[in-house]
Amino acid sequence: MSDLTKHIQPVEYYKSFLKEQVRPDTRTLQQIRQTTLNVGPITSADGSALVKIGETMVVCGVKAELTQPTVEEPTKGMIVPNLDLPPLCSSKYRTGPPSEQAQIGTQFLDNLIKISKLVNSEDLCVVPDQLVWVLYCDVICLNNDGGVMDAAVIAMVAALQSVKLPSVTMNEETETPVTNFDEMTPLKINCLPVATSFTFFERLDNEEITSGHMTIVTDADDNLFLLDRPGGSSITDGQLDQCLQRSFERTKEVVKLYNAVHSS
Amino acid sequence: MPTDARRLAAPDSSQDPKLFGDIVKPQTLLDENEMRADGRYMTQPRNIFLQCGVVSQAKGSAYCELSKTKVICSVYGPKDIEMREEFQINKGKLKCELKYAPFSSSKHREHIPDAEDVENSDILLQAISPAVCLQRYPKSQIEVHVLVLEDDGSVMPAAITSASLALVDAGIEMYDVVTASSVRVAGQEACFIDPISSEQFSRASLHKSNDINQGMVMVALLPSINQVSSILSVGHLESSVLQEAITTCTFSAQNLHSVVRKSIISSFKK
Repeated sequence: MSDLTKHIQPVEYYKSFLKEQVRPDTRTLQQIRQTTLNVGPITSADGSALVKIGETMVVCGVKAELTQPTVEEPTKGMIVPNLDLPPLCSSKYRTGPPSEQAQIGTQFLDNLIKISKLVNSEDLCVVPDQLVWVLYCDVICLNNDGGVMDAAVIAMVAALQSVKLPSVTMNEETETPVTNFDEMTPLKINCLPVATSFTFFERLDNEEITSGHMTIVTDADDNLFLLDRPGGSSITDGQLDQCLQRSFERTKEVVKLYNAVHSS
Repeated sequence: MPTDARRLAAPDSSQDPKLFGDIVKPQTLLDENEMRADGRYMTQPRNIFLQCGVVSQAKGSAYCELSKTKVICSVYGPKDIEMREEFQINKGKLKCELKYAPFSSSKHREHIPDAEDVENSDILLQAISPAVCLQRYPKSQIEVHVLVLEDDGSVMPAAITSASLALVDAGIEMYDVVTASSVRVAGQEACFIDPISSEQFSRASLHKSNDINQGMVMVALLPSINQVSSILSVGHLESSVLQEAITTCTFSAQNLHSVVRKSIISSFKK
């Protein structure tokens, strides 16, 4: 079908493909684009990863710095995730403060870190009440061709997995920290979560092409961490089961990728 | 420190762990074998990698790598000028934005652009705008976004070269591509081409040496028509030394032309 139809009648265009159970990019409905993971491309970061899902490209860099713990939690280090959707990655975004989508994405990553207990925050404590690590996880989308959250989660987890922290001791006399870069310990990661996003095409007679999306985060031990389904049309139990099934399958594939990259 | 309600709360201040490590002795720019810190000769630039069309969503894009320095650039437009913005009836508008990723340098960078980012964006704009036929795009704007993924010196030349390559990739009409190169001057006879982070000029290096000629020079060049679009000199340089540095930069930028041309041709073959 010509490109013209795609722009003039996008709904008709999609409908004609979906009737045949395929998508315009020749994928079947349940097929996920090819995923590639590259760990350690950024040497100035303490841990980094570049993820590509099809054309979507996301990079995550982790910077580890030393800071004072909060009064409420004197033995806990901090992880500060941030998702950036710069105007570089798509014409949808503008220069300036983070867009709504970026803020939602940041919150999503933060929830995921807390719910899945990805890193024990006690592991990031150097001296209680005095000194803890803060890990800045900056996820930047370089090319937004859909499925950014899936790529962002893989990038963040893989980047954290590659973090190595130097040993830090406190000099009692001067009360200043002393870091030893000859003794590096890898950061302990408790689980390997993977996000899978689905889009639903139901009320195609409507002007809208899609009727909402859903993101499921699971790990290889069949734990369900997050299920994000903001609004949209109703879905049946069968559909939900199918999506969960698919995301468990997907997780196993990506966990293989995590392990392959981590051990190499 | 400005608080940012749109991002998650981060600690007020945090320190780079390298500050508390062993004190590293300041290195000299050349070792006893006349070699630089990364094993190059004084007049040897780093290997460059250039690729067009890395961002599929953008009209045009380019990626540039100078060893560890990594820069990605995308171009959007020509499109309508946003509401309430100034525009010229007979000329298009070029908008440039250069940003450093928070993890690009040794210290974690703030998200909010600082004065340095604004200055760098302006240097980029000044360097590439003479090459673009803006009169061909009346009442419209072309956006150039550059993101520095890793900074290991010579970011501006990499940004300028990749921005001009992305403009070509976007099919924007241009007089010529722009290539750029920088040198670090440390003394009358010492011009270090394509400096890395540790070789870059800082105010502290002014007092270290007996020779007063200390600085950095960057030249952006339109290589086919052999015109200079921008010269930037920082530091203390005598006029004869400055001239020498500009000649070296121009020569080095001219050498980049063939690489840029090759990457344009290979992007069309795809």
